[in-house]
Amino acid sequence: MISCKELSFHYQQQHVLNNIEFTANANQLLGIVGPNGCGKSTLLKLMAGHLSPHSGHIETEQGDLSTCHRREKAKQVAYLPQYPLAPKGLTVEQLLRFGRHPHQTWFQQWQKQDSQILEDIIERLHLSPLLKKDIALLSGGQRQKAWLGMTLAQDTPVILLDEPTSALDIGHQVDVMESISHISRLGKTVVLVIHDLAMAARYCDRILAIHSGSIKACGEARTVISAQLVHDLYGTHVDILAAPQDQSPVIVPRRKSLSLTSL
Amino acid sequence: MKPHKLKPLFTPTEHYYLTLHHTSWLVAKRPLLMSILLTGLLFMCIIWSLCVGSTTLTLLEVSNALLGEGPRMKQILVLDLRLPRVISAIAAGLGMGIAGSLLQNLIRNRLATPDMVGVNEGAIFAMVLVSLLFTQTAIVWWVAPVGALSAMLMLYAFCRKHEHQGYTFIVMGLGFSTLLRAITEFLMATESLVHISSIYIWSMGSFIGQSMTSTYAVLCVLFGAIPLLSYLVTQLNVLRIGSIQAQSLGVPVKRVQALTLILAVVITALSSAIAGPIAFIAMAAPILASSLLRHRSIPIWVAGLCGAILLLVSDTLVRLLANPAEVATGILTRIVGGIFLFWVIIKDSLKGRT
Repeated sequence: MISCKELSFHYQQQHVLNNIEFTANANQLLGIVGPNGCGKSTLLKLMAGHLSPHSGHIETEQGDLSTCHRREKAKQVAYLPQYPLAPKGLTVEQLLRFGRHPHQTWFQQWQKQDSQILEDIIERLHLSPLLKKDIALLSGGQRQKAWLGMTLAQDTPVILLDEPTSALDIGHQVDVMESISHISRLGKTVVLVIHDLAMAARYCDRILAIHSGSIKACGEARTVISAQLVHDLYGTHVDILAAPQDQSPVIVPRRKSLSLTSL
Repeated sequence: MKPHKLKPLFTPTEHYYLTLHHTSWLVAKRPLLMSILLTGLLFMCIIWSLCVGSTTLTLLEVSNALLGEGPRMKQILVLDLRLPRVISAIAAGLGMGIAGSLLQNLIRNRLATPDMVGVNEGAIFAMVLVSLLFTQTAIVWWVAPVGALSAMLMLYAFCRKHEHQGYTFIVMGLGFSTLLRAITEFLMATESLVHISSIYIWSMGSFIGQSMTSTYAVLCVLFGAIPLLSYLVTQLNVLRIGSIQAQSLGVPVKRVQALTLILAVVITALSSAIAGPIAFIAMAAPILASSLLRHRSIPIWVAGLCGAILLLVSDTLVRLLANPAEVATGILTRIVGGIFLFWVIIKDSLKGRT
């Protein structure tokens, strides 16, 4: 569980986030959507503790996050930023091991539990053929899976992901979203920023729509997403179709000027 | 009873795994192997360096002299002349390698070594200024470290205002070191040749007439900093994945960065007090060490050993090649280092093309 209470943040007198209030629960996948620059990445950074809010606070089951010690915070909340680095020479195995860093002390550098957690993640994300590979040499999809693996290795109750599927092809997108959705069923609270509304509607349990720093809509994915909401958020007229498989909404943008010849 | 499903557990493959009761340690395999090999190589270099010179001694003569036996002359040659120089070269090399590696990893750029960003120029400037102001003939050993430290603090203060990204730091550092060098040369030009020549030799980096005081200071600092260094190595390794990610993993990023910078500058400053600012060791040793470890982890210890070997070999070669004249060791490291830098850049650009 992670909840934001009356959260506000401004950057050089410009309001980025205004009175944000919501709770993400365990066993739930919450998707944050909104146009570019609406403050959704900032919200995730605030929740991860990389920025401090100007007013309001963030709570997890362990209480206020801002009073938490950094190591304790790292055991509570895991955060994967949008474009992670690919340092030269680092292998996937090393990266996964770094995920266990907050749980290690000088006297306990590697416990049986660490091995079990990594084993589980390697199996879940099919990472075993990549373990010895250099991260810098991986494809975008493989690299994203490696980073996701590291974030999961932290084994925190709350997981924050900033656009984990952007820049991935459709196969990898489905792959990554399936893993994320599965993990959220294991008692984790997963919050992700996502641009693809169809993906969001299909995989997320709840959608939080943000427009210029305020919450526009919040609720169950299939009921929240409407042509009106999409227009309010992005200023574009769309049609919403139902996917043949499961009636999940598919968003199809309309052309702004339809020429006569194509009619 | 339910049959227990046996699953092969993940074990770190790049480490030796030690465990005792509830404690456990990971020891990286390749760095350990490299450290053992390089320590062996260093010992061979020490023996070689003790044997050769204006008078070549045999192994037996050297070991006798070390044990306090044999002719008095040879004992003096080995124990009083060659051994202190060897120890000083090792101490300076260790310090420069470790400090270079720390700074390179902090700034995330291989060119960001103390000698590129003005630490050495700060040391020389302080030496020249002090000797001009107080016209002292004997150089006080702690003047150079103080100069180096103040240069680094000034540079850091400049870069703080801009986000001190790696690139800004290096460009500012290059400008800063050129400026300091120019002021120093101007000051030296106004003085008489006799007065300035000893400082000039020192400023090139030379083991002639070095003081053991600063050697001991470096060895003490390095020895005392072992716990801090091993803490920093662990944290810096995690920091390689980016400061935001490292912070998410509970690394105290700001504290680690500040401690690394301070430690790197203190070690560099003290090392440059031993034998003057010897160029390129601080850059070459970590690059060499990093490629020995296949860039897998931060090579602090291996970089120190590489620095010690490089500097000891350079100093011994200088003694051999220029015999009977004495040439500043820094001149040789500059020549070798220049070629090395070319090689690194050409190798990288070739790799980038394919």
